[in-house]
Amino acid sequence: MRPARAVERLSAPVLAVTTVALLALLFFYPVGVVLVEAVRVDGAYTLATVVEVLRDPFYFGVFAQALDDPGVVVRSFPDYRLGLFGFTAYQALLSTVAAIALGLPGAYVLARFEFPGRKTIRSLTALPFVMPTILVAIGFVATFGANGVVTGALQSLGLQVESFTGTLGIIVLAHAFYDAPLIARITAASWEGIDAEMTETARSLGASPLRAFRDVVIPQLLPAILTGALLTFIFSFMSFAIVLALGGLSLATVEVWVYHRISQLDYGTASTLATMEMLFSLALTYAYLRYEAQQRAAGTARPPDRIDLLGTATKRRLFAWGYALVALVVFVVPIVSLVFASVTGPEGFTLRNYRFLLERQASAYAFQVKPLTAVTNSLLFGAGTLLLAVPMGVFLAIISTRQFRGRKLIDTLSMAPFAVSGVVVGLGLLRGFVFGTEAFGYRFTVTGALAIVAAHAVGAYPFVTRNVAPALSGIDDAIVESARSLGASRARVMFDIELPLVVPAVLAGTAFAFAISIGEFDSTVILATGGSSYTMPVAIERFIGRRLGPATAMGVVLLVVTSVSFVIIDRLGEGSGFGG
Amino acid sequence: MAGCSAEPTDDGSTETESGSTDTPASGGTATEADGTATADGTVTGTASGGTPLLRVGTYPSFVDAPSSSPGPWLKERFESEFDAELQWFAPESSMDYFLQRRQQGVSIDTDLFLGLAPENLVKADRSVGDGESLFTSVDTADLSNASHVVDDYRFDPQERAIPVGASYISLVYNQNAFDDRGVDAPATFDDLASAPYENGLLVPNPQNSETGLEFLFWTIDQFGEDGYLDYWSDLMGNGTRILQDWGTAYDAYSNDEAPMVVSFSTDQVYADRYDQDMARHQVGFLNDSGYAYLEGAAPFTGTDKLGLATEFIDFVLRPEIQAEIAQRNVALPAVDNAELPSDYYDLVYEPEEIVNPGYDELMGNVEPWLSEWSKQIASK
Repeated sequence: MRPARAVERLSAPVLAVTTVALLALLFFYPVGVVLVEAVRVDGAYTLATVVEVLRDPFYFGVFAQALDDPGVVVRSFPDYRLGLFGFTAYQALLSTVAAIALGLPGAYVLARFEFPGRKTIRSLTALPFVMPTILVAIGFVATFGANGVVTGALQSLGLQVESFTGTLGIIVLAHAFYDAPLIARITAASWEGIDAEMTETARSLGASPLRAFRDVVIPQLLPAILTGALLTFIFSFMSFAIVLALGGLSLATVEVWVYHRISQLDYGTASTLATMEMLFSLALTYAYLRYEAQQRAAGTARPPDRIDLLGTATKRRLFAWGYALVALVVFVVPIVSLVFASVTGPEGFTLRNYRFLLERQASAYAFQVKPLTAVTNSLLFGAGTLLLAVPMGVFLAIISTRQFRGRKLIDTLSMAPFAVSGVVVGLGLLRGFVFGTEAFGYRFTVTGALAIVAAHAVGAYPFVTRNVAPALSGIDDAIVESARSLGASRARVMFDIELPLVVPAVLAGTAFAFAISIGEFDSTVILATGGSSYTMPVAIERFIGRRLGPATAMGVVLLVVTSVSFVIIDRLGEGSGFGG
Repeated sequence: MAGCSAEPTDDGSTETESGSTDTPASGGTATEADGTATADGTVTGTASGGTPLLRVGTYPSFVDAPSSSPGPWLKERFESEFDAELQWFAPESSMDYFLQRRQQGVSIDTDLFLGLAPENLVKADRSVGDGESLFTSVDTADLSNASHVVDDYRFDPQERAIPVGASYISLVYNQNAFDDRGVDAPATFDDLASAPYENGLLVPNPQNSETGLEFLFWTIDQFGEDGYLDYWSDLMGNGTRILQDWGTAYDAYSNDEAPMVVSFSTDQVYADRYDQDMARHQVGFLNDSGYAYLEGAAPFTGTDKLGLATEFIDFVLRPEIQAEIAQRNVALPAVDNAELPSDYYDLVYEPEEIVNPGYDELMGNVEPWLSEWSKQIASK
């Protein structure tokens, strides 16, 4: 018993040190080296660049104007200049609202209804997340563009519409396409944990169904909804490619500018903007975490029976059917359009694009991208990412439920990989890993598989953390206390009681961690530079030419491979004996 | 091909050593077999043991495009003739990758770059110190076909970058769409900003795309430094959209999002090859001019294979090689004596006037031009 006890006692500190060391090495160091450029000009430290950006109305609109001339606040009311930051926050806010509007009913349908294929659809909710921008753009143009399915349908109804592309609306919808499934998934997991008894009690005390929903269900869902909303806001705030693919430079975000300044070798401004982005996102995270900690959901739940989706038209069913129609238009049509694009050409139906993939596989040169290698690399990196990200994420979630000084800070910082500009992360990895770091007279370079898995894991673990933390804090303290009083060690309570209770949350995080790895492009393409560690999104990028056919075919391969993976991940979770 | 050794610091668990790092073959004596490359002093043409390796940097689609890329063919052809191995290295960020290595003080490990645009060269020169350069020059006396390089295509006053390919930036438009609108194709820049062509133009983002950037330079050439921003204000007011990059813009154009896109005057070569509807692949110049899209090759400073690099550039400049590269890259040769199939020029359009601002005009201006323009477009 003694050695086992020792392992138990040591496991937490060892895990803590390892996690922090990994984060420092893989993320904080390379990114920090870039961000420090914000306050360094020609080797000397100065706030000049920061001040310059803060005073520029281009970036901060009316706030910057007011620094020089406070009267502007009165004069231009209410027609304020937004500036780049203001506009970016504005579109992120709209995107978040749209994603919640689209995601919440989805969570309701997934959590409360029964229908054939429910589990599969639930597994596939992570799918939009892996889709490279270019594929979403192709799907959206085919759906909402000048020749789009929806545009055509509206025109045939006599409406005067030309195309939805190039508008703020289409960008908001595309962000919702990416993030609403995330909200649906996280919220559904939480919804399924709500005890039927509580609603029944409320009803028996005379509450209307709506009232019971508002007063009993919504408060319990709030942490999950807010988690999804926070992530959506951050992702939309940092959005870059989708803005330029569907909207245009007139709708530029801060991240577009970070990229622009870096490509102009103006690291000072780029780092300043990236730092401001990060501080803003982390401030939001901090505010959210304070709120989340106050939430306490009920523990072991007996969820109410599911409603059969098929049957006579009731209010609930009509709502679910209506939502299914909307989901069909927003999620299914773009993806089906993509599949359709991969099997059509000017001559009609064709398998030419898939033949191209086979030919590439058979005859590609060593310096060219092979489809099958991309598939196996993606899956291997995805698996590797889970091995790192799930323990890291769960561990950080455990930390976030413990009480100690500075916990909120650590908690907030653990979200940093989401809050830092992708371009800056890429640059940091390029300098730190690809070019290497000099020490002790040697240059240490880390490229290829190992570095890619590390980069993916860092990008993925916050998902696991943010899924698991609310679930862990929802566990009834009484259960833990009684186990402890019966002599179980803290670690034993963790492994035997707490973790089994949060398996659904761990699974939701796992699926998204996997999705992050599969869909990651910015840092993968840098770390795989010139090597054979390319993934499916990198292959898609390479197969873009004047004809998009080969890229769409590779895109369909990506969709099929990840769909199957998601279903397997979810099913494995169900069979794991925890009764998730 | 990873080109690097992966070794995590501290914990001592050594990862793979792929061994393709181009370690200089020290002690290789200069044995210039065919007597061509005799650049000054320390050239090691062939290493004493084994086949010498020439590492050539380029942009990805030159070696790995979904249609036809010249890279594989060029490698085979070169290796069949020379006792050397050609290794392509095509990082996603193209020349910027090497520039960033240089800025970071990390060795380049690559012998030359193929596919260098004038603004790339300007950027590289601007960002390294005075009197230094990312690139070095070859002795043009060693390039047997150098005298046939089209004069309009020369863009480096120091002759480090030797032109190896060209095309023209132009409009590609859909005649069917203009027939529907009952208008002719636009002939001038002012037309583009006029009512008949409202919501008509897609431009690749100059921040991410050489094609878009050169279109921006073209408008500066036409309207001057003091006038181009006003022109762009009119253009944007007429519903022009600036999309991510050339691929995104061209795809949107292919999906009828707009009747015009900023692209290349060689568009019909491609359209013909894939039996496309030619009405949708019409090429239009503006103000009778076209902007020269140029690509050069230049050795990296610090290469120890300047001799072999010179031989490679000499090889690439040969008329028959130029002809083949042009066709595979859907572009034009940089020399005037390359013989292309007789119908090739039926499909390629050349403008009456070639706009080519030149190195000196770009030097020091690219950044302010682009920044001012970007701020105007994205201002809100």
